[in-house]
Amino acid sequence: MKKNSPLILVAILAALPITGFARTKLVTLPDRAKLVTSLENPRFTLLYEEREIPLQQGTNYVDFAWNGVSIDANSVMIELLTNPGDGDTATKIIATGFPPNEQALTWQLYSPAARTERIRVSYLLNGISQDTSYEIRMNQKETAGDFQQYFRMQNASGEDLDNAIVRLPLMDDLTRSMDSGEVRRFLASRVPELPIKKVFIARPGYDVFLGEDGENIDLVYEIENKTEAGLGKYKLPNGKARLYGDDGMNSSIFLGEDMLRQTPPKEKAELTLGKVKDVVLKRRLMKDERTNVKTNNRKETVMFDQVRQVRYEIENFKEEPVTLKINETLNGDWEIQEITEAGVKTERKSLSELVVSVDLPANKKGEKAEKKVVDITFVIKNRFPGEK
Amino acid sequence: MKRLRPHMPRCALVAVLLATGATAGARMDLTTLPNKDRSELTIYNSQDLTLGRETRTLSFRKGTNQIQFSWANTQIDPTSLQLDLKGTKGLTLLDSSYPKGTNEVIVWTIEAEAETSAAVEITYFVCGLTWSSNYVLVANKDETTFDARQFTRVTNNSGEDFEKAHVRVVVGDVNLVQRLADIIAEWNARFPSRASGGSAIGSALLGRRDLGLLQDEAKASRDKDANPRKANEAGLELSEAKQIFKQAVSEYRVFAVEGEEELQNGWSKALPNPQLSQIPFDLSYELDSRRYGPQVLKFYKLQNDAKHKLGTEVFPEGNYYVYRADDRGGNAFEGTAWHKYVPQGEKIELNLGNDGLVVVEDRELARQRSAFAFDPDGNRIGWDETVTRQFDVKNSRERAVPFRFTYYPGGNDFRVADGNDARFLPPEQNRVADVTASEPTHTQVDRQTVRWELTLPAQSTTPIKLTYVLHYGTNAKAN
Repeated sequence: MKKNSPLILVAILAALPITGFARTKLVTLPDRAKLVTSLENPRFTLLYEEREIPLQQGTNYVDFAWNGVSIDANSVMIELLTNPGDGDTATKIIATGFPPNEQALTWQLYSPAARTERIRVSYLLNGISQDTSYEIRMNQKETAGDFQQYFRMQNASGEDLDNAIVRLPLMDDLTRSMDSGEVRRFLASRVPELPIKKVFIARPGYDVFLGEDGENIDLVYEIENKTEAGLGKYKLPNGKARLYGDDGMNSSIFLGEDMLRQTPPKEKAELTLGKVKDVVLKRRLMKDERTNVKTNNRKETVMFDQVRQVRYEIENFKEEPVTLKINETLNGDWEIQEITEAGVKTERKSLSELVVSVDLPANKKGEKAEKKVVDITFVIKNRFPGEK
Repeated sequence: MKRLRPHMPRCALVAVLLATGATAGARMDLTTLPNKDRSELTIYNSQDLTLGRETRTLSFRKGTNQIQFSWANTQIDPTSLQLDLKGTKGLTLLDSSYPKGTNEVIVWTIEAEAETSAAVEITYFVCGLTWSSNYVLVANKDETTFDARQFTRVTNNSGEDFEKAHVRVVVGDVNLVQRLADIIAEWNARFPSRASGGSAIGSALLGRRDLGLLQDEAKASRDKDANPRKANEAGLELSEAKQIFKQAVSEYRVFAVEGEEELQNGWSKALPNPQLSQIPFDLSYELDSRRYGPQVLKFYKLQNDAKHKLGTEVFPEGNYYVYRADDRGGNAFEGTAWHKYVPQGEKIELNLGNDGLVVVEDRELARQRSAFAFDPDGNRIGWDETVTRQFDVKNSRERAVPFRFTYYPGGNDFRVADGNDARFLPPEQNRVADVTASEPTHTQVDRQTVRWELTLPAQSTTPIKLTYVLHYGTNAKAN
């Protein structure tokens, strides 16, 4: 099958007779000695190719032309690898010419002797995109998983990459051929036993109380990008993560997928896979009062304190103890006035986020699940009318 | 595919020597097409403006002589054409005329006291020639030094082919009352060219000029068709890249390209400047939401001075293509940045964009209101808010990096109104901030701006804590 090669590199030798400059008589250069596709910058694809070109003593012209591919013409560079520098014996780049209405340029080179020069031509090529994806195969206990990070490269550049060295930021060089229109996926890294923590998280809205209908509880897997876990060398880039679970029958099921957000080393990533059915949370607003109300002369409220009491009724139907995290969204100058249930932990992440952690005992088989009721009273000071 | 079209010069100079007392018919028997002794182009980049200058040696007969200059299909400003006789004794420029029926011809009438030969200089403004600078930087792997090369690129879209021209490019802002393109358009609208008719001298001279030029062009075209590339390279064999001489003139900087250049219409030519090697620079990550938006950006910073092995020349505005040597024998592309003109001693800051390796997470930890003020009707007109925030700066790189963080506690769009203005602003929109505590300690840049300059350890999270008081409404005025 004929390869699609819209790039043309030709040398025109000055020593040829003048009539030899007609394009049909140009000297076509040998094939690329080396082609590198550098994807180290996620926004730009840098290609560089090395070739051996015969130079005559004196002035030589090297044409670089492209057709059917999108190249940033200002980015096209030539480097002389065999005889670089400024000395008398070096090959010199004299000037670069850009012809009108053509996707091409011509380098004027001077060589002090007839010889072969290895050159490297580099340019930014549009149409090659890249992304990252992850696959995690959980063990049956859901405590660890086979973590696989994949790198996907899509070549829509119009250029066939023949025996190209693919240079990626997270892994060793690969040599691959890749035609235009082709998509390839590479395994970039793998940790066969990555510790994974399974957690249940409810994320109710500040003013949304579903009462008897119950709140949604997300099934979340937490992974840590740290060396102790087998990762931690690089940041984990954004990418879709698909999780599979061991079904205990020599097969697996698809647990769900989520976007893994960019995670620097030593940070934690959360993957939300679905909804939890065996833990029930009913959240009710029990009190919403204004105190310390201040009014103006027209008896209009100008500021007040707000007292809110939120009740959580939680039942665990699973045969194992679980910890439920409730991420409350808050605002204003708030503080917790009272918590009715002992052992409930709270963590003030920020002014807008409070995490309430409730440990729930395992449900005994055949028995009615124990309902845990927790009331938390918040006081929000110095509210203005219109603020919620 | 044909790249090079035949060389077709469009400007032509024709000398018509009129013997004193000759008849109208006799005056056209001596037409010459003198070659250019020297051609010079001075190209500005702040305006679409090029000063063309040609020196030619002409032979004059005793009596009245006429010199015709035509510029068909080129973008020459007709009002800018000047003929300078260079003070040659015995020659007097009597007048300049634009013949009826054509808008692309000027005729200078010169009185010669005796038969003589003299060099004259013709100057004009022409559109369509531009120049720009591009820079290629290759940093070392550790991002401590780079090698750089500047390319001066000249583009000719003037409609005219320039042979053996001395090219100079000018850095600086030049003022024009009217754009050249507008002048040319107005001229062509006011004096439309007619295919036939016009004055006897105009049509007669055009006819002779056409004939003379055609002969000349045919020869030129043969030569250039045979050797199209050479036509673009001035036919010279160069063993070194041309030098580019730099000189200050008034408030302008003139970069003169060594020797002569061949600039064909439609072509661009990039000429390399000498390489600058191992220039030290500072890597910096910066967050300044008012100047750059919400993302952390990566910068290469240095100064155009001796400390950075620079400082002897200026750098025109241009695009910088920045690469970094990787540890696999190649280069990784870091990004492109445009930078304005850099005078000697000025700093250079190349913004390479967001590489995602340093991120900042902003958390508001507390906000407490106090110091309420009320008007006599009991309405709230002022208060303070004490805010505590924490910024977690996360460095994913395997090396420590400098980080500069500029923050505006009053918000990017804060407004402080005094006196009567304050009455028309809702209290929420009239605010000032006073920083009361920070860890690590900040630098107060101005009333509303604080800054930290830190080194972030490799693969670390560095917390920055800040407490400030926002004064609203009348409290803002009081403070």
